[in-house]
Amino acid sequence: MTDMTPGTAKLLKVMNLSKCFGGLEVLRHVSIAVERGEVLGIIGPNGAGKTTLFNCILGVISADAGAVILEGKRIDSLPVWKRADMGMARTFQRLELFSGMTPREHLLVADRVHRHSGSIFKDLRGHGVPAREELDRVSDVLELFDLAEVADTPAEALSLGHGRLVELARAFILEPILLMLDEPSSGLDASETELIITMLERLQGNGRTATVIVEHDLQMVRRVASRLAVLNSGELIADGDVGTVLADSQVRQVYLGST
Amino acid sequence: MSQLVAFGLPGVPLGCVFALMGAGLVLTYRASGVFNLAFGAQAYVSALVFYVSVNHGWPKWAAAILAIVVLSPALGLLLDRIIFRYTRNASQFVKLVPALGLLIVLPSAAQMIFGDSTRLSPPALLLDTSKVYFHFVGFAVNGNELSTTVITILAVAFLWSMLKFTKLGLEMRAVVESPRLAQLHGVRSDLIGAVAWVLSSLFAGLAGVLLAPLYAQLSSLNFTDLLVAAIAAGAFGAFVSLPLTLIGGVFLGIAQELISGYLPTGSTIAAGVPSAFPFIVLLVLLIALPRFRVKREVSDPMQGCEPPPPCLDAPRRPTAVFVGSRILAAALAISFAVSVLTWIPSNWVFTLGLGVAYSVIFLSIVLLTGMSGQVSLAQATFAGIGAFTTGQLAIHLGLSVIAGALIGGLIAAGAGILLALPTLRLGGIALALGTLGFALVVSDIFFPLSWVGNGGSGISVPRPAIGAVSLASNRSFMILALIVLVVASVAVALIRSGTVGRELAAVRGSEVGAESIGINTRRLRILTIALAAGLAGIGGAIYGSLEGSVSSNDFSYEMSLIFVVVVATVGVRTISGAIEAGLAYAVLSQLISTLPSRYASLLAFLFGLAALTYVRHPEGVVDYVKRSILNLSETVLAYFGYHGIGLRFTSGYVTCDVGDGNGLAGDDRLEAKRDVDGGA
Ligand SMILES: Nc1ncnc2c1ncn2[C@@H]1O[C@H](COP(=O)(O)OP(=O)(O)OP(=O)(O)O)[C@@H](O)[C@H]1O
Ligand SMILES: [Mg+2]
Repeated sequence: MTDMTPGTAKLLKVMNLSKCFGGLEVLRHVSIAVERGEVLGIIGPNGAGKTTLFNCILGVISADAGAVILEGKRIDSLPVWKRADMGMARTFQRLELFSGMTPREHLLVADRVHRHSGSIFKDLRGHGVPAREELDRVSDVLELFDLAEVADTPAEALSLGHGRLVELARAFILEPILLMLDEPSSGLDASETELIITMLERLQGNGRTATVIVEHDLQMVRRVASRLAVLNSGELIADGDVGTVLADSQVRQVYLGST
Repeated sequence: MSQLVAFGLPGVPLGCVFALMGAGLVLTYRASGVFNLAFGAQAYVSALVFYVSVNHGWPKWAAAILAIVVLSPALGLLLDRIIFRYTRNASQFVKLVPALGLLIVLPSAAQMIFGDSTRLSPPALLLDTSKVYFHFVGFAVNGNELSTTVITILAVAFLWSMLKFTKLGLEMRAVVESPRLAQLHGVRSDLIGAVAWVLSSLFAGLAGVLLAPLYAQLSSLNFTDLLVAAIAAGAFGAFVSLPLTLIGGVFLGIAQELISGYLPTGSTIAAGVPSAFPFIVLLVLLIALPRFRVKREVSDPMQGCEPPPPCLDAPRRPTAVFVGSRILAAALAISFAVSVLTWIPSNWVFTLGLGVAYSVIFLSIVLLTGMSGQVSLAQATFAGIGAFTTGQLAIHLGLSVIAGALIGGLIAAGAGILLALPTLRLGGIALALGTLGFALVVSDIFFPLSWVGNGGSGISVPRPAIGAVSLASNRSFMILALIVLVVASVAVALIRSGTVGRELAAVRGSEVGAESIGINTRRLRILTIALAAGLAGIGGAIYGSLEGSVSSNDFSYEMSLIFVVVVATVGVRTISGAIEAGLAYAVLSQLISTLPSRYASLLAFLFGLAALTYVRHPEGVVDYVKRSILNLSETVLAYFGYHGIGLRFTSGYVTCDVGDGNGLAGDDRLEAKRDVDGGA
């Protein structure tokens, strides 16, 4: 069943994913694929199962049935951290910042995890403190995400907008091949949303990273996504070109009817 | 078969008591989220009050009403109102510390109030204990078995009908099912919490009075063992199901009596196994029951709807204060070292040496709990492993103490890893319970073995020698101990500021977030447990070598509980906190040992009392006092016209949400935090 030919392998393939919480079927045989470098938007009404789909793909919860394949390898039995190590990075709908740490510390820890450049033995020899080049690299990313002036504020004191940017920056510094964003603009004002869009466009510039973005703001989806999928009550009801999908009568009824 | 029944029948009353305790424990755990480790202590207090009033000539019914119906529930209500209602949304550690404090405070307070005389043959609540009332399929049923069983059935019937037929009972069942969901449906969770505490305390009181006559003597130790059995009973129902808890309790009681019936009498094993048996069952249940592996948010669908409680934040001090305190600390450390090596009398050098040993052990708690947010209730046991290893290696292989201490540390670390592997999968309270079980089994069964601790009498541990230089005198040994302390402190400081420290901070901040960037949280946790166990082992070796001997009493499992309480109250977040705690504990123990014997537990009492304030001052007493002094000086200086000196701590500690249990979000949370700080 696995797509074994590396040349034609999609970046990510999700096949027949199903998940129940108790008696509630949250995902029903969802199959979806992501190509390298593309931006896939996922929309759907509240409770459609979008976040659950993310969590199953990333390993936060394990699916009841189905397969998740990254670059031709089945990853559905791997723990979250291993999937992250393979190049999947994410942001959270409900922020998961490291409370007590500043944005700079967020990026320092992520950068070092990504590069596997730290160990307890280095710590004990006194090589654990951040090196010049690490600090520089982190400062550049902070600059890029317009976070320089809050770089040393503890995470609890950040505004929601800054919090979302910190999560985005934290994912960015991992140099992911697949970036998964769960409602990056929710709770933000127009100018903050604009900033996030700019960041996404810039990310697309490298042509390496594919992005999956769950978003309620259709305006935003239109601007960043190249493909669109619609999830409704755990079922994928449309998947294709943005314009076509939005014109689809079933999608209009389900989605626009309920928001 | 007939022997089976003969051995098993006496287990029925014991099992009934376990079941009562287990039911109470599960009730408070589910309704208020607190794992009430002080439950056994509450039972003990009721039993004691019953004993004392009956001995003063009170009729039994009056004594029973006072001890069970009035005193115990009143205590429960008080505890809920002044402590535990503030911990609803707090982390497990914040909930655990006051419970541990209580576990220590209650028996020691009782000892100070009622004296420490031995209390033989406690009276039974009803019926004559040993009189045979009737025969059950040929076996004599005595008053004890009869009354305990009947009372338990009545109590359970009362609880069941209350839960089943009253509105309060319905709400309580809803809270037990899903606290969050119940709250959203307008269930008065605050009221439910209070009722649960009152009810479960009633059960604790009843269990205490029923249990007392099963032993020849009324002693608080029996009641700590009782707690252990109650937890195991609760584990049968995965800390959720009351009926399974009851069945589990009765089963445990019978099985425990059966085991002690069949074991050869008089052996070390026979003395240790029955009391450790419930915990062995608990460990097996924790590891084997799939229930515990399910993540919390799945069992409570609403758990994820609110931001988790913020964790403790490290203090952010103004630079002037930071530099100033560093200089002061360095000056103090140097004068301490010089004084110890020159003018302080040798017996006080010994006491301070114990303080240094404690400091090393306490550093392991700072590493594990302060930095990594995990709770181990077995640090004294790991220290004991270090001490016994050092002693045995010196006796049998003539190995030097320094090498022995390092090997002891490694063995302790290995034991830590073995313990961490199964329990970590469970998360939350499971590691704390698992380590408590480990501590109990090791200190009751393993340490007294002849090839480990020579029965209860202990083994000798020599003082070290480096080459031809003997460190036999207190003062010369102190040099070595101080070097170990400095090396350990520097190592912990390096870890904190290095990769591992940052990763630990990230995991503490958000576990899901940390995993999402590729941190292997499981590996990280095992690493810290191993390091902490190893460090405690080395501290224990210093202790043993200084004392010249080590016995199983030095590192009983109660010591682990006291250690956690001491470090938490003095300051679990900082390296200096561990050192201050170690020295203070040793010096105060020495001072208190000169008081009359009824005050033997005064120190534990004081620290336990301080632990009750942990909810308000998680930064530790010492830091709180420092901060108050600085803030006061700032205010005083401002009064004289010197503004903005910058002594005030600008960003305080992020404490648990204090409120009616409704979580606050975002900026509100920050406001609440300021309120807490302002009000502190
Ligand atoms: N851990 C859980 N236990 C039980 N039910 C859950 C759990 N997590 C989610 N659900 C339910 O599954 C359904 C899908 O939830 P999910 O969060 O995936 O939706 P969503 O599409 O992300 O919605 P939103 O747009 O509101 O974020 C919802 O009905 C939700 O209540
Ligand atoms: Mg969602």
